[in-house]
Amino acid sequence: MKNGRITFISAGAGSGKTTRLTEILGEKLLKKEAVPEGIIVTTFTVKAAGELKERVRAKLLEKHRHDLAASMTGAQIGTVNSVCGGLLKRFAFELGLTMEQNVLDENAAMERLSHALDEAIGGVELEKVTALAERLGFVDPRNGEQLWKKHVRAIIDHARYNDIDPCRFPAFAEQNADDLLALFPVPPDEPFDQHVLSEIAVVKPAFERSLSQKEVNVTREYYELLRRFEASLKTGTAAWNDWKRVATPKLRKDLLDVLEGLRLLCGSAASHPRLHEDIRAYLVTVFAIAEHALGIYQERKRELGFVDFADQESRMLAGLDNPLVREQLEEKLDLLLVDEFQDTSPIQLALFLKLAGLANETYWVGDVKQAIYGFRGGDARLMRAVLDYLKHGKKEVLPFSWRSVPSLVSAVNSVFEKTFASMLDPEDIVLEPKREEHPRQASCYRWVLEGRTLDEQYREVVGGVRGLFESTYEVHDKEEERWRPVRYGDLAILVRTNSHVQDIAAALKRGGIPVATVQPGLLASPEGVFLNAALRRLQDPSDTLATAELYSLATCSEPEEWLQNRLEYLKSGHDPDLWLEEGDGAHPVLREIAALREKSLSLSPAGALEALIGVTGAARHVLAWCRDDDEARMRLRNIQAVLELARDYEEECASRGGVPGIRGLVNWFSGLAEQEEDLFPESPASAVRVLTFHKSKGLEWPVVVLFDLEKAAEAEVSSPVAVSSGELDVSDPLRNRFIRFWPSPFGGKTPFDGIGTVRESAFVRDAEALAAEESARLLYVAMTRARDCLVLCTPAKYDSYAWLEQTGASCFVNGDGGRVELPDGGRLRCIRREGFETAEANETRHEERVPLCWFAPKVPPVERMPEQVSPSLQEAASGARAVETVVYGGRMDLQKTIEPAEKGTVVHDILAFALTQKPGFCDAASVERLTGAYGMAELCDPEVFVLQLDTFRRVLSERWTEQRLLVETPIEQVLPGNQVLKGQIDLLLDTPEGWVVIDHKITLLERKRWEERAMEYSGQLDAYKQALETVTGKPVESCWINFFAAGGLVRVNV
Amino acid sequence: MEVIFGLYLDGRRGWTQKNAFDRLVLGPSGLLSQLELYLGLSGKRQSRLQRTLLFRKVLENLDDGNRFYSRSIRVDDIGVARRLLEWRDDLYLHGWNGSFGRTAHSKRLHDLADIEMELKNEGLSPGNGERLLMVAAALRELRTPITSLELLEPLERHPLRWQEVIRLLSFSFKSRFGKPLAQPGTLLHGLQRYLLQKDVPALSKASADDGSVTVLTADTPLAAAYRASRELQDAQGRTLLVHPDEPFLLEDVLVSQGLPEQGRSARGEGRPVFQLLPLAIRLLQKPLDVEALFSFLALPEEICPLDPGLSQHLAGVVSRYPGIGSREWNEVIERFKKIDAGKGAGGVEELKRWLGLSHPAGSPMPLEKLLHCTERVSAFLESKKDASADRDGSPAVLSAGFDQASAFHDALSMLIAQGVRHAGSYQIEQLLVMAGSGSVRCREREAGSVPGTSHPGAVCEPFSHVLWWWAAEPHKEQNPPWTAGERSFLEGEGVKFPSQETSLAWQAEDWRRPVLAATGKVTLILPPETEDRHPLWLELSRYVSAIGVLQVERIISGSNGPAVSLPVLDLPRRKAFWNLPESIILGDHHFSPTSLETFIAAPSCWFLDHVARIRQPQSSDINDGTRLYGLLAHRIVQELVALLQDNGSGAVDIDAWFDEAFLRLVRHEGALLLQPGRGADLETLRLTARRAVYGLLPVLMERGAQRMDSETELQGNVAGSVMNGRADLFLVDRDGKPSVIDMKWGSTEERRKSLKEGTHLQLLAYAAMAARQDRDWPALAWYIIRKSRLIADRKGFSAEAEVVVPGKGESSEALWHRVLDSFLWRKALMEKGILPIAGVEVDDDEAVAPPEGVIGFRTGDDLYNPYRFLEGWEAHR
Repeated sequence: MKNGRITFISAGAGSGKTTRLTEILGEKLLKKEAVPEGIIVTTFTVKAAGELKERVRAKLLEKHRHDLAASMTGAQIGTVNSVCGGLLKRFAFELGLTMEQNVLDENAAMERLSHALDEAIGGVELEKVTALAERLGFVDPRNGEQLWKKHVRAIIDHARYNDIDPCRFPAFAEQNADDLLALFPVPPDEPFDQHVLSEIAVVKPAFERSLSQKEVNVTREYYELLRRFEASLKTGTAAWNDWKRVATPKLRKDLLDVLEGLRLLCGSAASHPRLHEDIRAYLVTVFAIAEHALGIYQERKRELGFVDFADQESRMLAGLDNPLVREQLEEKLDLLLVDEFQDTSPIQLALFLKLAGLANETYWVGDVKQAIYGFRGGDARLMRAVLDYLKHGKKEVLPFSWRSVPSLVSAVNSVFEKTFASMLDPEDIVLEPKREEHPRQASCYRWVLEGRTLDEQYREVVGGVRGLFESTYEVHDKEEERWRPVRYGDLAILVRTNSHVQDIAAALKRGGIPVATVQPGLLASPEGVFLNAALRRLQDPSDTLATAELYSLATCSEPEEWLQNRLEYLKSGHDPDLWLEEGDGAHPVLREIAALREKSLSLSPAGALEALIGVTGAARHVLAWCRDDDEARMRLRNIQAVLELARDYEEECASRGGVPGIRGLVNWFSGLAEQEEDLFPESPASAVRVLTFHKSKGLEWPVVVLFDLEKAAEAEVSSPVAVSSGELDVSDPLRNRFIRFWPSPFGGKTPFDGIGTVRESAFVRDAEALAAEESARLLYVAMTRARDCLVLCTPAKYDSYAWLEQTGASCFVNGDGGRVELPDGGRLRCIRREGFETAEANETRHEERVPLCWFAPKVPPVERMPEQVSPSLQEAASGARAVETVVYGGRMDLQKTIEPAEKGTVVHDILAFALTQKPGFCDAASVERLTGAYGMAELCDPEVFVLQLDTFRRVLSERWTEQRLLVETPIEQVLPGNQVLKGQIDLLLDTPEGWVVIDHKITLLERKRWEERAMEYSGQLDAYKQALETVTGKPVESCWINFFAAGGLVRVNV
Repeated sequence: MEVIFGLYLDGRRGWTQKNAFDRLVLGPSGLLSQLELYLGLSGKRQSRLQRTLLFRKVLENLDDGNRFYSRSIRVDDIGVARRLLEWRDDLYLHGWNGSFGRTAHSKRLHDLADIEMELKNEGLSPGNGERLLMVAAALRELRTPITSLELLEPLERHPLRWQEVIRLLSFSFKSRFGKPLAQPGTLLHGLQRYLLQKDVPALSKASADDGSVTVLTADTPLAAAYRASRELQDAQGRTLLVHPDEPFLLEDVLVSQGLPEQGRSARGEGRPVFQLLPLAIRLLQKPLDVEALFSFLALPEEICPLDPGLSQHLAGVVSRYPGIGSREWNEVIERFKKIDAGKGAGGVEELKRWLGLSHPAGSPMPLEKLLHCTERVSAFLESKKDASADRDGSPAVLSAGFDQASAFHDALSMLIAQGVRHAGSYQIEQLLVMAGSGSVRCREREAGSVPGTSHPGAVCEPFSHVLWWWAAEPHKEQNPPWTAGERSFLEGEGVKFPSQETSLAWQAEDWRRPVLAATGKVTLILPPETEDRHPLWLELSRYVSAIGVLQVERIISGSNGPAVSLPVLDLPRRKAFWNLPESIILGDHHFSPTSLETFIAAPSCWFLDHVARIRQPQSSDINDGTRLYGLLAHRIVQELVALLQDNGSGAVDIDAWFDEAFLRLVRHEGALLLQPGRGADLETLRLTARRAVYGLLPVLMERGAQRMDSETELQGNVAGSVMNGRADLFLVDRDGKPSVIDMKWGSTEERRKSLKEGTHLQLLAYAAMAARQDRDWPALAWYIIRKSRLIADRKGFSAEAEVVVPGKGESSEALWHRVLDSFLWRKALMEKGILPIAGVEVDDDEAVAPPEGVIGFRTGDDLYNPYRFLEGWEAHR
């Protein structure tokens, strides 16, 4: 083990982390303390890896180290998974792995896991878990899907990201049940259900009476609930949340009085012994399914040669214990650099600790304040423990903020110094601002939204954004190093959920503001519909819906026009399927697709889409719809994105073992659209970005608008979570990992509502505290994205903003605006805005549109000709004549069972060899060896072959006494129309009279048919003659066909 | 003979075609074959797949559990053999002779030497290193016509065995790009000097903008391809196109822009012709693999081994009733048998042959069975290939499929000969990929295409213009696997690999070659900044920073080079109605309750479907999800009714009947639920269907005491137009009172709402037809299968039913009159040529605003409306 020095670099938001990383890498390379292939750098995203690589290269080029810059490809810089993947491939033999290790992406892994789940569970078990899940209310109210699969998956994920052995699952189940049920009320002795049924029997008539007098909806609904509850209680299928619903009706007083006894009974369902049994049984079942499914999943992957992301990490972790691997890594690993260290999962943490032991030097770079991936398995507490342990090592703090204006830096310092005080030193929180403040502008705004509904608030945000762009607000341009007016691309709106992203983006679009966000709907965009229709039309000539869609989009004609056309076409009695594809009224797009259909047998699905984009001129059609070049660029990107989806489809087919096809692609597109996975690409143009707080990490904008501030973090106490039980060993962070899972049985927003002992338990309290801490970190990330201006949206309907309060940041919205009083006594100028314009500008705006431009097509050639012309494929030359025949040998006996083409090859090769070498060199042994090399030892008698060969040679030397033999001579002649005649002449004699061209044929023909057959090759001989005379300037004396096996030459005049 | 020899010239065309005699431009494979021809060393070589399988056998023979590959070969025998064969061939190429003089301390090298010993008598075709050894030996004694060999790369860049051969020929090397080729004073000249010397100061913007270097960036390869097409249209003199490995999109754009086909290999595995063999294997493993079955039946006619009259109809059946053996499946087969006694029966026999074999899923596949299946595929493709020999393009495509099947067949035969009896899925997959990889066909280059290369090292002569399309980061090349210790040992044994540093430096030299080869102009089209650009750009950018990077898309606003204006078109807007010039007369259109509902809810959809006959094909996708569940549940209830009709309820063991009927129906019509990963769905459906059956049973007994029919054919009319349809359940109780129940999978709230509002059109339509027949208006109910819930329109329907009294308590007859009024109002609109579009808000005074008493149109977005993209676009789309 090397004495790997670990340095932790604490890099607050905007403190120049990438610059520091570039410096470290550049210096180590320049000082020869590291060679590229001895470097491992892990980054959080592929993009970050690319950026880092490029910046290091640029730095090396600055120092004129082109050699080092070029050799940077040898360094392993990438995400943890790509680095692990690379190392596993490298050590595949040492670790006993497959060679390729085809990586399953998350979707494919999920599908495989789902298959494994299926295999893991039999009908009886499924019935059991389904019934349990229904009783415990683990059903998604939106789609009726049962959540037990989700729980099993979460258990499996936590096990894999914490390297937990699944054989511990049964003990985990029992432990969880014991811990949780110990906090539930003790079951009573009397028969619960009987009492409840008796009470129901008592109260039902009162309801029937009431309903017969007057039909009231809530009464009818409660009565239906009672009826169903009674029935389900009798069959033992009553859901526990129905107990709660029965206990908490919203009815008029007289009915409530009637229900008192029933309400009391149902309200104490937490003590029901069957509930306790259900919870325990559920835990035991889901952990057992998880154990079984995980085993099958691993086995199936092994059989099919796949690995998933978690395998890559766990195998690498295990692999680092292999002496051969350790030895090789120790030999090479100069530098290990881990970026965004705070977001590593527990297993990655263990991996980095082991790798650090093998590296000469290690840097872990990150910011604990920005650890926001708890929901993906990150464990901030574990992380902090490791970092505390590292305090004995070296630590470097990046002290300056290069990102934000001083007023914002000070405000963030002031708020978060207090928030994080219990866990971090001030030096890890407070940054010293290095930028200049704008001379006049405020850096903080508060937009007070008066709308009651979210939709109204979105419209106000659009109004606020529009107002900002119409104002003279300035932002600092990093490239040009000056203040300039704000543009669309300078602004980002951050929200909590993906659905809010979509809603705000849609509102911005409706408001005529260009917006860039990753949201679904690509395939329902006009360009998506165009390409999809083209694919369908290519695949199925009876799809007239595709025809209509293509025509409508290509011509933008009103429906009345094409409908009329269709009706007239139908009246004409033509084949309804061929509408607009054939005949006078055909449209070029449909005609081209029909023409491409002829070639579709040779097109893969993605290849077909590429060809369709070309032949339909999709780009030109799409551009014709656009208002401006920004929109045009976006739509072109969309076309490309659809194509990328098609390529993804092919890859997915490869990884699933599926068989790709155009029909399959069309269906896959439908599936993507249905599941809202057809995401638009990021806009290349200047556009407002809308994204979630989590996705904003690592990014920055001049102006950042924060929405959803009133929502506080909610602790996930009723889902599986990995925790460390017992003493934490920082040198072995995965020891004692445990999966805590406390299923809450009554549904509702608050888990374990009404069971105070659980709500007050240490685990729930702790989970809430962790959630609050993570929430504070998320707010820190959100607020530090702004370079010049931070906007806080505060709907007026709320008195307080829970997230800000929870984080100690409510000073931003206290008071009436104008000034924020910061916790440290400082002040921040803040401008309050309200009364936003909410009309959707776009609805009333009529813009003058100017034509846009695109690349003009060339007039296509009348006839497309192949570039290469092969002499051997030329038809017989007109006017050619067989003028002379020379018989030089006998008819050889060639093995008849061998394919003529194969015989031809071997005879040509023997002749080429024999004629290249001196006479007599090619003897019977040579012939035998060559025929043997082709697996045709029985082709002929070698002695006979040699005899024929010698005779042939003698004839040549007798007829052309002065000659030089040229064997397999290449010739190339450029023909008119850019065609090229290209071939190799079997035998060429260079004589004083000119070239003699000889082409060998092995056909065994009767003598009388030689001339006739030779004439068939006259085109080939003519082509050689023309080419030789043109290229060499020397005449061709004669052209011959050599019927070698028959022993004769025929001269052909061409 | 003159030969120009470059390391990257195999299969590429980075030079201009010209008149030439006795001159060849060759890469390593080309030159090696040519030398072998002249030296009498040619012969038939084993394919890569065959060599791999032979090597596999040796590895397995030697595997005693302690070999360095022992653990890996047990999980990946073919992959290990392929990898180690590559290592072995590479060792030979760099100087190995098959054994080590000293004892290798490295386990890997030690084992490789053992493998080599074992290989001696196995008849493995030699690798390139061994072939070069033989060529070198022959060259010492024999002659070749090669008079000069000009190297594009210096001798030391070639592997050792090549160096030995080259030294035996009359070779020369002179860097073709050792000095700037561009006109002095131009930016390009300066750039070339900079690349060669590195110390030339950057140019100022003023002196830089001479057009000799153009750097562009595009958001997408698509826009970049159009820009490249523009450059090639303008190409004057000799132009070279440099592109990444798979320039498919560029090629398609160039052709569509009227330029010649550049010629490149077509995408491999995704081509339909490569699908037959894997599909046949999947069906061999499991005939009820519905996805494979559907794909097999829906294969293009040219490559489907079944009669299209049978396969296409069966594909349609499988898409609706995914399984084998449904009523519809059998009907198609029976119909087909009758078409022509001989052909029909033969076709059905053929179907049985392809679907008849089955093998337990999950267990390794016997190779003999696989071989048999492959022979069938092979024979079929061969016959197709021969039959289509006169059709343009088809034989080449079919040949590719045939080659794949033949190579796969050969591989299986070899494995069987080696004593292997079974293959796992991973092995089959690998063999299929390797078998197909030899069948990549190149599309033909067309006259007028420009020289092009995907490797910059293949540039071997100057060009007046070099166009580099999509200069993205190239693939990382694999490093040799050897450790420092192994390398040092190998060096002692005469095996010399270049250091990684040296390899990377050579690679960087190659990258510069296209720029150095330009005499007049270089155009570089880069990916956007957000993507990884070619490392060469970073090097160039320091020099050409003054000229800036132009955005290709600026052409859109007409500000970047010659362009044509596009028409200004507005996407058709979504409007409240279409106004056709002609009156729409309904004529003799027949209605069903479903189409009547569409007519009322969305007249334009009804019109497009029934009058304009604009339709998407029925069999584009396999029925799944709630549609499939609903279908199966309907079938179960139909069988239940038949059972009760035959036996009465007392004599029936419902549990036993259900278990049998459910599984049979799933196999025949819902086998998608038998696919891996669908077990939970199947079980959930089983539970739901069983619950639904038990929920319905008392209702059937009570309401159907006198008569109980499913799928009851009913006839009637709607305002003069004929209407007919089949009611899910038509029941008559012991008092002779009729009732109609329509079964739906879900949407309880929606159904409840429709009853409440009196817009339960389908039920009313059935009621009207039944009333016409029996005079009594039946009681009506929805049965929601997913919830086993009956929602009836009147009290007393059943003790199990939830009652929702329609509208304001009107009778079904009164409500039907409202439907008729609504129908007539729409009909009148259509007669004026007006087609209302559902889901568009209208003011009360508009022509299409429904008057009082008339049912309104469907509101809101309807994702299931197939015509939604024809109805126009919102402004923000």
